[in-house]
Amino acid sequence: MNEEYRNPDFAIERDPSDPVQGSNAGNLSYKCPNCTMPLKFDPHQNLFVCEYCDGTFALEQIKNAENEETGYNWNEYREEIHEEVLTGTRSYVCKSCGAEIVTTAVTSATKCPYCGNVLLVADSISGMLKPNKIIPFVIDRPELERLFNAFVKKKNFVPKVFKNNPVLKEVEGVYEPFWLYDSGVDGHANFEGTKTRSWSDATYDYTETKYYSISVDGDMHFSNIPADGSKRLANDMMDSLEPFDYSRMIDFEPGYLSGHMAERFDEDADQNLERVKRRMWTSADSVLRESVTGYSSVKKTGGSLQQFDRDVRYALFPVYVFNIGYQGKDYHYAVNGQTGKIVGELPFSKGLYWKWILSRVGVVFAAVYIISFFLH
Amino acid sequence: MKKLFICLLLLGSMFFGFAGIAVADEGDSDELKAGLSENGEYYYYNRVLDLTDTISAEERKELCMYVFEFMEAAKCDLQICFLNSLERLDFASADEFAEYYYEAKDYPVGYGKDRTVLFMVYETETRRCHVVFFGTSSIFSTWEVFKAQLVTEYYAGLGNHYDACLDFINRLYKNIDPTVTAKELRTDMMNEEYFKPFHNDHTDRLLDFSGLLTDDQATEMRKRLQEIRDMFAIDIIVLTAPNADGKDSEVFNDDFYDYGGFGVGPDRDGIILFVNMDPNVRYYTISTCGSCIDSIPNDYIEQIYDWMLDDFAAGAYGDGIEVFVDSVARKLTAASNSFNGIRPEDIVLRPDADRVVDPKGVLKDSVKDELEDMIAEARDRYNTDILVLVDEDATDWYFPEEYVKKYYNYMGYGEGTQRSGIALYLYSEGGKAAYKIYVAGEAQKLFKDDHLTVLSNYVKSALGGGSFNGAAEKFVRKTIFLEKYKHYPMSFGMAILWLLGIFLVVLIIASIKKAANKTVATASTAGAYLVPGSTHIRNLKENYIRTAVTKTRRPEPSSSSSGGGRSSGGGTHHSSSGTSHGGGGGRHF
Repeated sequence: MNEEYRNPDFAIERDPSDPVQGSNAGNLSYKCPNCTMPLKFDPHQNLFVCEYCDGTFALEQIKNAENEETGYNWNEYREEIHEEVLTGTRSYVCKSCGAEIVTTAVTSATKCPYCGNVLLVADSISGMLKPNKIIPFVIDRPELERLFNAFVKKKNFVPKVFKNNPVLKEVEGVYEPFWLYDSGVDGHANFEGTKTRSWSDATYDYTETKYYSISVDGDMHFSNIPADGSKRLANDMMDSLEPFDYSRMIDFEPGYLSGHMAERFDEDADQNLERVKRRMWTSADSVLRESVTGYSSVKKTGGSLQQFDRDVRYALFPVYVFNIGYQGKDYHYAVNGQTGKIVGELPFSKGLYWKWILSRVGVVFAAVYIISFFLH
Repeated sequence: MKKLFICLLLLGSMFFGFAGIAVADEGDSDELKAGLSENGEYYYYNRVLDLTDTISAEERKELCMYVFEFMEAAKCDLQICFLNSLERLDFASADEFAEYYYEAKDYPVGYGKDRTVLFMVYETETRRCHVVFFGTSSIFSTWEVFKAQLVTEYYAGLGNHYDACLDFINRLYKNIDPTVTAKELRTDMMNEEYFKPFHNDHTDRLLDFSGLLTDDQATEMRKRLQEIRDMFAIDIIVLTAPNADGKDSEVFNDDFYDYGGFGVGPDRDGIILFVNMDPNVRYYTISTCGSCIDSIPNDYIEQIYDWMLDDFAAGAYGDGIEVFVDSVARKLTAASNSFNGIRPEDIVLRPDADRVVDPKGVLKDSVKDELEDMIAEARDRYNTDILVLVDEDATDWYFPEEYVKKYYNYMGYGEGTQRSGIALYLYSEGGKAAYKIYVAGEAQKLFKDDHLTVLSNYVKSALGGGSFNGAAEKFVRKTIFLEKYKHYPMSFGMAILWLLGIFLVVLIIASIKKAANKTVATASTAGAYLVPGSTHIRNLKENYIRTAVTKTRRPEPSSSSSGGGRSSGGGTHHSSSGTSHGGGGGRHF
């Protein structure tokens, strides 16, 4: 089973220590253990260099990282998730968009919440894989409409027809599959810091710059970084629904699915790992950088980050998804079913935009003109 | 009768002088050649006539010996006469006195058959030294003779007739033979210890020894210098010379003024321009004294230097000197708190006076009439006065901007309590038509800088065509046009600039508001999920690597240095006589 999650990109095609091959080492497909971006071999240092995070690695380190990556075992989450099929649930597959919809046995799914297709086919084989956690819906449908009206009213340059009478089509509350990642990050970073002081005499201005090499080690822990496990909803849209209030996240109970549909994940934890790691690396870099104080300028010159104590959980988060049609185009929205946060593209009225600009220009110019009368 | 008395005095003096020389004659008769008789024989008699009786017989003998030495070198006799007053001796002039002496048959003077001789006649009562030359032609430089005269007047004025003679002979001798060693004066009196201020009223104030002015220019200039002296009671001197007597030009200028006895009143108020035409120097410098130190400050003198430079560089020295004189006159006029004899308290409004003032009749009558009508109507309607002034001579005494301002104010123009109005002054400067615009009272709020720029452009373009008529007409028409639309608080150009600026700012705000509609973005950090208290920083190490120091030269403070060797900043300096002088500095040309 481990083989299934092995990262196929981690194949070594050449031996970079071989000087003949090393001359073409820039084309090797090693990935940075820190940020997964392609590495380049620097023949002068005899090291691999990441141009994105400035990390430097010996071949040994890369191989160790590869082994570590290969052995990435999310505390056997697969056993928990894949092997325990929920009883009392019913699963449907949308023939139109491929979504796998799960409801309780007593809830009938009639339409696909993503594409609105009514031709759902019951899937007798697969059931619901049991999530670890769930955040129940807090926002109900009438509240949702009130929130959306308030949201759209606050926005600028939205066509009046849309603003005054938004028709929320096919609103569905769905429990979206999310992976929650825990991980420790242990890092080392090198910086070049400068301290400057200036003074003058009668003839010259002087600036003295002292250069320092700074190194720092540090570790930290991240908990419950969410990443949605559905292909149907765009990752950036799901990211934008954050934050969820984890204090109200509870252990999963099938009863919460009553009256709502849930989607079964179709992106597993490994598929989302890279973007979660990027988020962690960015923040870990910031933490290390912020520990270096007292300098006029600080520039990162290198470093490395490793994960430890990793864990992952499978959770269902409440999300409303719906479309609003305007002038032949559907605008897609998602709403955090817990906090009411709304995300999605709004129609833009060029007319209103220019009307707003010209009216303001007119008013301000008139004011300036009138004031200039008094100053005249 | 007086002349007869003088003749007896001369005879007596000559006799005693001759007796003194006769004593010396016994030792070395070759040293006593004093003149050549009709038979080719030399006469021996006194060359220093001291009717004031301040030179001893011994001193006279020494001086005579020196004159004889000089006479051989110069082939010119020299007769020195000290007397109290030519007038008292019944001589109308030094020429008459010298001629009388020259023609005296018993005591012939003169060297050679031409009887070349130079008379130096000094009057103690007037402190005046005259030089009269007889012979075929002058062999001395007028500049050197003039300096010798001035120095004689200074020394003899202090009662030191011996040194006065000695210096006079020294200078003439040097002029003939530059290699000769001058005899040392007994007492150097050209310093602060001996200097006593005095007034020399007889010397010409235009001393053009380098001949930079034409005769006509010189006549005009003398008249002008006298006018300025009469009007402001200051001495204004122009000196051009081929050298500065071996001194620094600025030092020489101060000394020339002091030891020459120039200046008016106890503080010797005055200003002197010295143009040194020494080919190795070519420099002009100005020095002020007394009240002129304040009324013509050093920074203004720096401006005068600059204004003169173009003419001097072009070799138009007469024009350059005129610039100096005009600039001094204008500055002194500007300080005066009156205009054409009108004092501020005498000013009366003249609502019925002409609004187109053209005493020389430069403008056409038809244009004048038309403009008067237009201005009268505009004054009624807009309560703002309009004056057109054409007077080219006024700039001899006034800065153009000063003239139009004073004319407007002292001659009673303006509407309302604030005497609101606008005036155009047309004149010529350096042969080119020029103008100045003056705005008074409430009209200053109407005619802002941009409006004045518009008006100026119209006047300028009309003057470019050489038409004072056109310029006056354009000015009045456009002024009335601006008055008509005075309720437009900003010009079209300004309005466009405002619109563009506001549009830009509003566009930026609109873009920010538009961007606020965007609610979808990929998450890039995980800071919100960092477990509080889980961060541990370890092994924070700092290693010093190197130090780099950069230096950049500080900007030089701006300074207005003069071409001369001395500071041209504010304040005064002291000449060798101890007198305070302003000015200094100068320009090479």
